Amino acid sequence: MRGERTTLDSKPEPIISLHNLWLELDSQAGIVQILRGIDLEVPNGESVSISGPSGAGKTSLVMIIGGIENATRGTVTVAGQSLIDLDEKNLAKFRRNSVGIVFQSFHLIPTMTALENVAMPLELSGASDAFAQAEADLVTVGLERRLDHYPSQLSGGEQQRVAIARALITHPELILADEPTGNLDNVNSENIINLLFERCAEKNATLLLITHQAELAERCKRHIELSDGKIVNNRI
Amino acid sequence: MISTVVKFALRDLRHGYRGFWIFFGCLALGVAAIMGVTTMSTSLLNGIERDGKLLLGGDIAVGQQWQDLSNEQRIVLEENTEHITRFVEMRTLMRTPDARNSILVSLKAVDDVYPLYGTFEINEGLNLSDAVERDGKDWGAVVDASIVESGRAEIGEYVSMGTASFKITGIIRNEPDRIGSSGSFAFWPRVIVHRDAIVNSGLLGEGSRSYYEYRLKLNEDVDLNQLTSGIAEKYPLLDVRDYHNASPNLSEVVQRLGVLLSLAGLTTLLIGGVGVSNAVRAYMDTRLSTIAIFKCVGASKNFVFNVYLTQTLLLSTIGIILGIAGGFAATSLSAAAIERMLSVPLALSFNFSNVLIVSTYGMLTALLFTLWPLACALNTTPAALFRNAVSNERQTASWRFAATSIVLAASLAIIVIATAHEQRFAIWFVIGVTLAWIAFRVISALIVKTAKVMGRPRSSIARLAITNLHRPGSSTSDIVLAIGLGLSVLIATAMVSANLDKQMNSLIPEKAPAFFFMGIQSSQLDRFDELVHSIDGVSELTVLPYIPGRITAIKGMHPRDALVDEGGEWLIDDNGERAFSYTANPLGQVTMIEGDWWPSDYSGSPLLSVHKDVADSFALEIGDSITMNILGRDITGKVRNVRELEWRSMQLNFAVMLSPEPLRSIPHSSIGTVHVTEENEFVLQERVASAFPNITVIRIKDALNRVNDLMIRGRNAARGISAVTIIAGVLVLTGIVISENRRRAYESVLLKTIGASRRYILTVFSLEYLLQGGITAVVAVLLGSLASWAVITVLMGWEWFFMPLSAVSTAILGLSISLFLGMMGIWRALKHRPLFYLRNE
Repeated sequence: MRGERTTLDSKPEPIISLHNLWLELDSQAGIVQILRGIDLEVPNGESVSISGPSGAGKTSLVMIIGGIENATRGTVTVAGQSLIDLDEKNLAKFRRNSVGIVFQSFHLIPTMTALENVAMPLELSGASDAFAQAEADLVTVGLERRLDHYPSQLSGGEQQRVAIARALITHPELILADEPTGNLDNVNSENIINLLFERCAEKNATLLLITHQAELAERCKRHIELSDGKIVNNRI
Repeated sequence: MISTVVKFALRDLRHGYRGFWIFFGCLALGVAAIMGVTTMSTSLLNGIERDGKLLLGGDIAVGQQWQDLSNEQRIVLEENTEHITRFVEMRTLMRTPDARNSILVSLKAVDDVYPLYGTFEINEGLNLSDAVERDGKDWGAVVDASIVESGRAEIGEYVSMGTASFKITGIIRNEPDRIGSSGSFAFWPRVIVHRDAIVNSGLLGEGSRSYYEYRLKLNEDVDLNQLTSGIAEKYPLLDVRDYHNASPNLSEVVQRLGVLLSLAGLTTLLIGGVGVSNAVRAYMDTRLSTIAIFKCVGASKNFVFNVYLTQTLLLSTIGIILGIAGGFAATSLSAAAIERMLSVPLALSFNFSNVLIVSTYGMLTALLFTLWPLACALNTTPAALFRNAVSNERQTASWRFAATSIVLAASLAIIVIATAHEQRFAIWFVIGVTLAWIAFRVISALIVKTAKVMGRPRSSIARLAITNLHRPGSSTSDIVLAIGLGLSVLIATAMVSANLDKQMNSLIPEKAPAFFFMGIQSSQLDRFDELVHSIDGVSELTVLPYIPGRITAIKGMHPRDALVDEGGEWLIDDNGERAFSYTANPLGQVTMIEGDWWPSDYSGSPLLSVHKDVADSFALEIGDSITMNILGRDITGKVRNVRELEWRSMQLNFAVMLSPEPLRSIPHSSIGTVHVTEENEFVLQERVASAFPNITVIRIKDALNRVNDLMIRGRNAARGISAVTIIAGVLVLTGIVISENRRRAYESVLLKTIGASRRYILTVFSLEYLLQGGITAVVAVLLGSLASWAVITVLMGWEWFFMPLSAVSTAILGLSISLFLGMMGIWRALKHRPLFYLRNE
């Protein structure tokens, strides 16, 4: 299915297309320009690292691509949909079907078991086999013995595995990962990153990875560096 | 999708209901209060209806004052009757061997058939007919327990009423038809004797205010309504009641009481609503991350709203069920006490229409108070998760939620008014609550605005306290509303109570007469005057003619058409007779408002002196006419003057006084008052009672003590009801304090970490609280006073006094309690090591 988006000259169709993207926020001190005229195209299935100093606009950029934040100006097209044109309801649908998000702090729902956390996006879509699929995905990430555990009963690494399974359960075209190893030790970090890359490759999902770690960024095909709201480096 | 919503709602509640005790407490308490009072009033009304025959003492009651029924009338009654009983009721003095113990009693002289329904119970299983039977020279009498308990008389002791002597043979344990008694006979302690015992006692003599009563048990084939209306039509002067209407006054009192109690319950529910709102806000603050996660994984705003609305409905349902169960249980447990206190049968039943109304109140209140915090939490953006910046700073919801809240509030108001027995009270209540709500919202906005423009004082304590009032996320608005409503109720209750106390104290004026006499015959006037004046210490004997009658026309109109103020309704009420008097000269110190008194030798056509309230109620002016029917004769008089008088001075007087002619020539009795020194009171009572058995002698102190007892009961009941409301207020404040303490504890620990002392921190928060609470308390004093004014004047029809000491001391006490609760929380936080809080962050 995803191969259909690849053109004959084998140049993949961009899954993310941003043109002259601006983000300005009101604050007590006046208007703050977070993103200033970003242009970016990311082909389908690519892995992309985003780096830059604090306040450069990395998270804001990812949030706009994930349909979580609205751009002030410019065009945002993700997975063939112009996000600027989507209303609240369709943005929710877009996030449910096209995007998976992995956070630094995991953000699992504490009152739901691992299985329920993973099944949740499918349940929201009305899938009847949500739990069967979720169980299969949790087995894939090595948590077959932790299905009925609550987040508080899991280690940090295990929680992040659940989060990855949750992000990928709906087969989204795009995975957004915001410092996914920031709260993990070295051994767990390595395992989680391996898992993330493997699962994205298996599902042919595009990966946008915010990271400060150079060696982690190096595992991605494309490297984008932001500074002061602008892309200062975009290389393969 | 509905099942998914419910599934998610239930999953999200898995952490248990521990954080919801304030929610449940506030909602359940409010619902329980309303359920309790509605169950009580319905059960009382059902009891009155169910036991109608028992309360009335028959299927039909027929009675008449002054004289017994004629033979012809008795034959009509007997024609349709299986059994009939006849008795006489009157007030009379029961004289004991020690004159000081003589007491005005409500005497009932019964025949052998009495009672037709129910069982008359006397102590030690005595039988009534045996107890009142003649034993040698003396007849037996059974008396109210209060007579024996107060030490006025003992069992076996001899007492006299009129010229007859009685031996007290027993204490009344149950008089089945006491409530169905006519008029004020239920007011005085009861004594029951045989009817034959009073025949030659002088008690039934001319002018005696006896009430002749008949109770009928009808033949099975007799149509009750037809017979009742037939008798009433044929003999309009007879009072006729059937068992469906055994005690109309009591039903009215119960219904009124029900309305008042329901409104008090509703106040509790509304105050509880503030607690519910605060509890939901505090809960939603803990769910903001979950909401953001829901949104991140693609849940729509509607879905998230539905999940939390479902939770709210579920929790509200539990709270309402708890409240309904609690309210019903409380009424059931106190049923026996209520029956004893009110002497009214209580037919306890679980009434489903009550449950429906109470549940509707509860659910509407819960929705009204939870909708806004839910809608605000809904605005949490998933973006917050990226920055770990999920914040509980106050957000506002869209206009749609504001509109829905208004619709919910209006629905609640409409249901309250529509289901109230007396809609006037309910409308006042709704207006009052709305005004209070608006007032405290405005006050909180003003406090925030003023704090903002005050700038930054040099003192760091003042600066921190003032900044806390207006910073983002400040709960000034919630605190002002909760404290304001809570304090207003407290102050209103205190003021009502203080006013009742003052009324009680002012009932006995310094120069009140000692005795009130009724039924003095014209032929007895001279002897009566002579006897009274022969007793030492007597002064100011006032005797006035007492002429019963009815007003039939005012200004040529039907009296009801002339009525412009319902305060004058009592004067033209069809139930009961009114009385008029005549005098040549004004009585005592009269304050003339308009016009002048007629000359002392005036003998022309009737002139009238009317009280100011009467003139106001019927818009009477000098020269207007009033027609009275006196002993079947219409007498029309013209208003000559309008006067003011102080009823509470107990100075003998009448609302309408006439010039002497032509009343002087109509046969009539007189009433009188007399002042006498305390040591001679009993001599006077004894001598008048034995010389004139037909004259009713009422010791005014006794009468006022009886009234006082009733008022104390009323005041205690009011205090009991307000206690429930106060508990709700304290619960709400506790809830706010607990949720506020989460923020304050963290801030306190931060301040402590950077070197602030405990005293410094407590001073900052105390100052902040006192600024909010102090201003709120001033407004609460105003609103509480206004509410107490409405209760005292509009509901009770009494004069209202502003009691500043009572209002201010209540406000200070209320503020101190909530300040204490708040400071206790801060103190506990300061006792913990800072690491405990900082690590959790």
